Amino acid sequence: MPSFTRRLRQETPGWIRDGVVTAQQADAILARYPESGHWFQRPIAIFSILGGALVILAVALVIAHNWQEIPRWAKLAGLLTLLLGAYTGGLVIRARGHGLVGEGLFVLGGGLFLLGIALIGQLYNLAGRESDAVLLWWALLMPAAYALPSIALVVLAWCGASVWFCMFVLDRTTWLGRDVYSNATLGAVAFAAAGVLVWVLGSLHGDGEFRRAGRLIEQLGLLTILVALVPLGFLKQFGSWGVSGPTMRWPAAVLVLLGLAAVAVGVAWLRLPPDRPIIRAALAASLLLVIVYLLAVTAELVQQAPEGVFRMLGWTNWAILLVVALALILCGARWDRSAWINWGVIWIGVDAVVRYVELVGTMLQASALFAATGVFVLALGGALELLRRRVTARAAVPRAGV
Amino acid sequence: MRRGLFIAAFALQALVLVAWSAGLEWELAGAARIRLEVVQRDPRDLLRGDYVWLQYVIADIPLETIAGGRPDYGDRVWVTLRLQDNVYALAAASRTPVMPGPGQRVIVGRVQSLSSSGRGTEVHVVYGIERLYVPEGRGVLPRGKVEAEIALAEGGRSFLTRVFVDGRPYSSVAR
Repeated sequence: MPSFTRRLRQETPGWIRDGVVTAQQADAILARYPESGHWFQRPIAIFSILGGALVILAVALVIAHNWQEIPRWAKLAGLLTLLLGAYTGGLVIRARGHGLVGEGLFVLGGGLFLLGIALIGQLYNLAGRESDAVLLWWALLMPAAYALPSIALVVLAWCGASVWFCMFVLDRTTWLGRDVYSNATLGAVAFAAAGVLVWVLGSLHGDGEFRRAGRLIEQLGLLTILVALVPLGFLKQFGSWGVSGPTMRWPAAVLVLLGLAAVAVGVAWLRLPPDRPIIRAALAASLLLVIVYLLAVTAELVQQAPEGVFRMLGWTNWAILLVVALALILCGARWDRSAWINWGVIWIGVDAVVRYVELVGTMLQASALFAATGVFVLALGGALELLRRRVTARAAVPRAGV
Repeated sequence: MRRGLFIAAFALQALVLVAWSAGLEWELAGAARIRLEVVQRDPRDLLRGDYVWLQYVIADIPLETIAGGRPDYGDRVWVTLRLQDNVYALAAASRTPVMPGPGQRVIVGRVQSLSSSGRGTEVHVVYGIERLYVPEGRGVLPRGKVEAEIALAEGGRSFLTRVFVDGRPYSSVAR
């Protein structure tokens, strides 16, 4: 969604044309709200991020030095003081109107909390699962982030959650990692299910003060689903990959994750913007389709289905990517979510390129393949950009009666 | 209201760090001290600095020694130790909690991997005491016979307290 100042600049010519305001009044209104650019284009934001990162690095290096002359409690007390200072400073500075610097200090506080966990690990020579430490970090960071509320801290906590999930899946001693190590294909299934879950959690942020964070989280979910679904489309070429044994049991952890994702889609359906029931159902149904597909892949992996079944699942993957992309574009256009439109277009583009390479890859020599693919991608990119602009422009026009 | 919630969230973070540390201190204070034989490695951790990676003789357990069947990755294993030549050595292992006999101790670990060799299938168990954090630049132990002093809490949880090289303490970090 365009910012208030950008929207104002788009709307004022229409107001002058319709006689709502005079040209002078429009200029006066625009002068009242100067365009300040995106937050990341402002020098203070860049300096805040750099400064905060350097302070965190400095504290990390001090901890890493491991001075044994300093008592354990003194080290912990020092870190807690810095943590308190960062959070209090953030609160005070934000209350004085310097929001970006305040956000920087909150992020610094979040980083210091992670260092606190690392410090205890060092003080007591703890060598447990590192994913547990990251879990503790983001699980305690999240309530502080939403209580403030601080968008930067929310994003940091979600980054922590993403890193934790990757570590959790890749560790074969965890309940989910154990399933994934029995068949690596299940890793893609787990990531896709987690992507659906993340997208839903993002959409539950609503249009209030967490709107921006919600939009970011939604995009993280859509990216995760796409990245996980594309390799699953090649099941028919490779069968399942990374199988550790001749027999496979039902992956309970992956099934639980799929169940959670299905419940989450149901909850999201209740919270979608008001529209015709069929439109609201379309998006939820397309995501449920993804979950049913993932369930089918899991079942076929466990049953060690014949090649023909995997070929069919590959085509289904192609169709599902297209259906979800179209649902995203349709709903994005109706509910003014330009990010959904963009992601829908990206999904169609990626799906088209992957299917093209899959179809033509075995027929052409490498050089001819690259040349033909290059031309295809350029043409496709142009066509999709035209589509994206047209849909986004149509979405930006306010509908009558809405 | 919001500020109150945030203060509660921050207090929770601080409380977790302090309570965690206090809990570890309490467990350490009440733990018995035993010695285990080790072999070493020496990497570095980005956040926590230099450490010596200690691999214990009791880390590799023959599968047939483990009562209760073949464990899976991540499963907990209760390992019974008995004193042998001044260090504690493997006596038995089980997938369920066990009571130690006279003169024995029980340490709890987690299965990290299973491997097959000429000696049959071995289960590699980690105990959470594999890292000894040392001051910067001291990540390599001198050559010699290495033993680790372990504080063993009643439930089988273990803490690395000291390392001895040829009987002399190398570092004293968590006493």
